[in-house]
Amino acid sequence: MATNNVLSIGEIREAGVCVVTLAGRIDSTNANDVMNRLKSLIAAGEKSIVVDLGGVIYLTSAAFRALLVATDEAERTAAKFALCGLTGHVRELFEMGGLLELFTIHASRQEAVVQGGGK
Amino acid sequence: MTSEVAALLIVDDNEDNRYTLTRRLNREGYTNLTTAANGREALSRLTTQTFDLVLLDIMMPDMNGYEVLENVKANPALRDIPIIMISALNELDSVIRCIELGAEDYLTKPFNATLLRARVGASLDKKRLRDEVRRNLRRLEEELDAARVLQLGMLPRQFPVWSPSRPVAVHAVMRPAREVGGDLYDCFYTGDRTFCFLVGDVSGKGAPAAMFMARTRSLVRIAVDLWREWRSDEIDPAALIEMVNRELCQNNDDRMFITLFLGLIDTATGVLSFVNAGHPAPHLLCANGETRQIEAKPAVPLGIRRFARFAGRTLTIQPGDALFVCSDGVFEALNEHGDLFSMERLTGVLRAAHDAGPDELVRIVNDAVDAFTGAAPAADDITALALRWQPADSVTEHSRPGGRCMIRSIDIPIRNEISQLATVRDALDRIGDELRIPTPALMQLQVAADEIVSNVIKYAWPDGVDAEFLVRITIRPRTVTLEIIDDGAAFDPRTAPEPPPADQRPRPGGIGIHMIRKLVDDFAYQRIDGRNHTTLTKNRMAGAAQKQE
Repeated sequence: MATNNVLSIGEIREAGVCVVTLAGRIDSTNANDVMNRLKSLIAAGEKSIVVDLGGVIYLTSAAFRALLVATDEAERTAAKFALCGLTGHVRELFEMGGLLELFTIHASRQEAVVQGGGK
Repeated sequence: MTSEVAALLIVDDNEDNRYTLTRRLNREGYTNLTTAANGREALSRLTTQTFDLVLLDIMMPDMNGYEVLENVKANPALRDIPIIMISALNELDSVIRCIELGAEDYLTKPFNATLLRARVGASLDKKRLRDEVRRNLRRLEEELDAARVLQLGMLPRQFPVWSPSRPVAVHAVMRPAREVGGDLYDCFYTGDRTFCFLVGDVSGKGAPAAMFMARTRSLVRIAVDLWREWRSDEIDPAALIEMVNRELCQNNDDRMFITLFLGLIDTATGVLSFVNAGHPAPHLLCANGETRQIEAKPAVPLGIRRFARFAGRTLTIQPGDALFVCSDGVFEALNEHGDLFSMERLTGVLRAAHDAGPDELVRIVNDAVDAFTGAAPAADDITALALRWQPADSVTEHSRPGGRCMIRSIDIPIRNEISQLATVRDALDRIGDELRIPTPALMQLQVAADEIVSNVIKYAWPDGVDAEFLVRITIRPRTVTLEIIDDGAAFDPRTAPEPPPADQRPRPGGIGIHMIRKLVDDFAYQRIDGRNHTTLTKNRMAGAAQKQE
């Protein structure tokens, strides 16, 4: 496994939905960056957010915390918030943490965008 | 109890008699007086107030003196109150009957001032003495109970949990024949790979034996600690015991002594070095079922000869072997017919149970002794300690012919800064490359390492001081173990609460710890010498999602 600590956070708009793409490793050294980015989007009035984890090769519970905090924030502002792109090891880690039920998760980004980040 | 505070109850149906007695007793200084005009009233007074003495007339209508007396003596709460019977001169037979029923003394009417003073005074004196004896007995019982709790508290009842870095499973029980006992056991790790255990038996029983036992236990612990602190060589059990013996011989005018077996196991090699000061030789229960007492000819017990020399011996045990040490109370237990449980019977019980876990082994032996002795009271304290050396790889390694495995460790010092996480992850990456650990297994171990290391960095030093701790990675043929050793606040991560339900925001630490349980095959914790030792062990060959539940 390559030692790649770089986390990249991208942001694009697809059919009125704000898609945040995460790639690389997420752990306690950089999970706050993810959380702050999501919080500021929600604070700015974003009502439909999809987080695409397709490029994530590694994550720890710090990432889960960031995503859980963002979910709470979104609920508070009645914004839609969903995840997609959970594959392989990343999906397993969600399963191990018993977290699959805590998020709205879509099989693909396409489906997520169609649903507008909601269910 | 002075005359002023002594509470007296006067029971007489005759108002003149009550008046006369009250006046005379007042004159003698008794002011706390209550009167009752019949037996029923007397009994109801007795159940609602506390009295030190009752003056009771025999002949009364409705309920007479006998009936009152019988009622009082039949009531455990009242039976200790002394009763002086009041009778007419011609009622001697009745008086004798009352004395037989438990009355303290008697007075005849008309009252004689001197006799009244003497008998009331004597009865109250006796009552006071009896109360004091009872109070002292209760105090002694309470003290003995406290001593028992204290003594049992001195012996470890939480045993070191087996883990790859602490590969000895151990259990022990001491059962005193009286409130406190003179047997002792102890077991603890000292240093990185030495497990120390001992069983002792003080001559005699009861409080003096208990004190000598406590003294011995503390001396051994202190001697081991001081050795570690001041000497760089390995602990020599014989030299250690000589120090303890010299100290026990000091101010030992009562000539108490203790037999003691002390053993030290090198947990990496299985070398047992021991010294036997007059104690029964332990049993070795081999993994292959062979069960025998080890060669451990007893030397002189401790506390007898100040300059006694003790010979240390060694024995190499095999992975999976167990040792059983007990006090003579086990095999010298007697049944109702006076038969001994015997060493032969003990060996038989151990042989039959040779592959049981240490706690099971101790229970089986205790049950066998209890079944043998039946209703016969325990004559001696009974102590049993069992341990099994089970190095992490022994399950596969010792069965492989000539298979001595390569075990190596890498120590990584880490500062308590979150940026240090990558250091551990990179080290695991290199190990994973070298050993070709499958990616899922490696990543799961890395995530688990991240969780535990970041937990230590964030929470072990709550006041934010700069600190350093150690991550030790140990590679074995089938496993990789991560041991985190830190001197931060004592914290067993396994006790962290489960993550909260979905509708609540998760607490810090909760999810991470929960995940560690799922990510690794063994998750252990111990607090040793002021340090947290947290170990995560991962099966190297675990494939994707191959974690066994």
